[in-house]
Amino acid sequence: MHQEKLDLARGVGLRREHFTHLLEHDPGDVAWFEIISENFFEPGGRPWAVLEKLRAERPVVMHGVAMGVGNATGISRDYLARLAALIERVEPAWISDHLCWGGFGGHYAHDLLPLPYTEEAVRHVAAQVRLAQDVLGRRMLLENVSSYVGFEISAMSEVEFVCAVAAEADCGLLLDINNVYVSAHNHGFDAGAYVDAIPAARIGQIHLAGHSDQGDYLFDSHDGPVIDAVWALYRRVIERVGAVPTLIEWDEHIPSYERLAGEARAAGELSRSACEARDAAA
Amino acid sequence: MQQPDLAQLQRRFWRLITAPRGVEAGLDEIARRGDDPDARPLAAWLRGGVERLDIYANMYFYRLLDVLREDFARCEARVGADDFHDLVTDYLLAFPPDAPSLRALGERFADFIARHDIAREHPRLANLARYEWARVEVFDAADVATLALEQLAALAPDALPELPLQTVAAARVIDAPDGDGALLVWRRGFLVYERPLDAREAQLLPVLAQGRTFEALCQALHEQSGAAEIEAVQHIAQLVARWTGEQLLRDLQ
Repeated sequence: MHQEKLDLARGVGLRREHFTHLLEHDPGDVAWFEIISENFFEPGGRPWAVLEKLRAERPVVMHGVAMGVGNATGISRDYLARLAALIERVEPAWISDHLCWGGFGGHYAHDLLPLPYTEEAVRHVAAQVRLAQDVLGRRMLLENVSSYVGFEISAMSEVEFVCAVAAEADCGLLLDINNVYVSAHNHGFDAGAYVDAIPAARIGQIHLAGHSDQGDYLFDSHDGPVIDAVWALYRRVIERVGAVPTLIEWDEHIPSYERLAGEARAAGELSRSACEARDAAA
Repeated sequence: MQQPDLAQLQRRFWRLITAPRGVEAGLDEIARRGDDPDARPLAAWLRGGVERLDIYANMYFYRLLDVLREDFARCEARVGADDFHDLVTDYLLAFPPDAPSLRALGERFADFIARHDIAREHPRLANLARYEWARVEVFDAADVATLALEQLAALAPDALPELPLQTVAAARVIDAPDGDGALLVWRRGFLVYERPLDAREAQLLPVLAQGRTFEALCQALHEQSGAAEIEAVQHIAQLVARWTGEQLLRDLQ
């Protein structure tokens, strides 16, 4: 397995809690960084100083949280214009956003809201993704989100919906394995069968994160380390599809940069081990 | 009961998760208005119940509250957590987020406070909010090259009148939050600074946001204060030297 491909497993999300460290130190063995696109819509200051330094040292990818590909009212053209300008400045290796809706009537929930799994939603979302890809001039990855409710109108499973949108939009997928685990628990489906059903060729990136147990549901809190069951799902995916760029998300109770980089290192080691097992079985 | 299409479902979902007193109260409000009779019973269209939908309602409100608590920490300290919570509830009802970045959420907060009942008990709260928002704005305003003292020193005397002067994007002149007079808030490097302004600077610096020549600024001072022309030139020269040292002026050469 090519070393460069294995290194792709060691990505982390850039968070402001680490700005000072990253301005003063080398990023270490973290192979690449993911920024939240909307956090860089303002043009200057310390955030951009950190980003410019990192861009010179490592690949950077852009992950959006507000495109709203599932918004019934459609993606904001103004949003796409701002994103296009950011892409021109950052020159990311790739871009992604979420398979969800996030606002109504011109307002933003600043949250990742669940879609009904219907043919209508497949057609609508796929058309919006195609529009975004046309405007931005590049293919994007869509991330599966965690959810706490479902809809009676849904006519297919979540993974069928995800695959149908990706096929109709011809986009890639950012497979968030923690989100699969959380939603599988909350809705009672099989997480293993879900990740097995995602076409290998569409998986462009993987997210791993921690969650919290709220008693009768799991909450996608990104506030702790990745649990063993999620690591096991990750190994299952890598053994099937090979090395994939992988990133650890940690957004609450954010640890030191060294600790976060250690989690990324663990993902890299697990990815290497899974790839070796895959190669041995081939 | 007819199942909602995508737009109907999102409209209903949105109304419920942004209802200020939670999903159950939101359902009551929809029933009172009578404009979405199929919203009840919830189980007819939603899997998970009120408690699960309240997760989204709580995430909506508390994420936004956290952003405003961070941006307006001194305002919260002044009025207390409970009153700040209620103020934010009212603010979000009046101004639901309309920008894709959370950074913009507090843009109208100071003006909203000025018109809110809380201003009667805390008459300077809106000023304090403007001060805190100015610090937010300058933190990530555009980086620009600044005029250096060496450039000023090397300037030929006959070039001085036409020297273009414009403040950097990361500079704001506001009313002092807890006193009389004006305050300058600006970013130098990565750090945000502030200092009080005397009456002359408070009049001149806002003019420089649009840009003026040295000569025009001298003329403005002469007209505003009645200062003799020579005195005005000397005063502006001193100010320009100070502003240059503070990295307040763009390099427009």
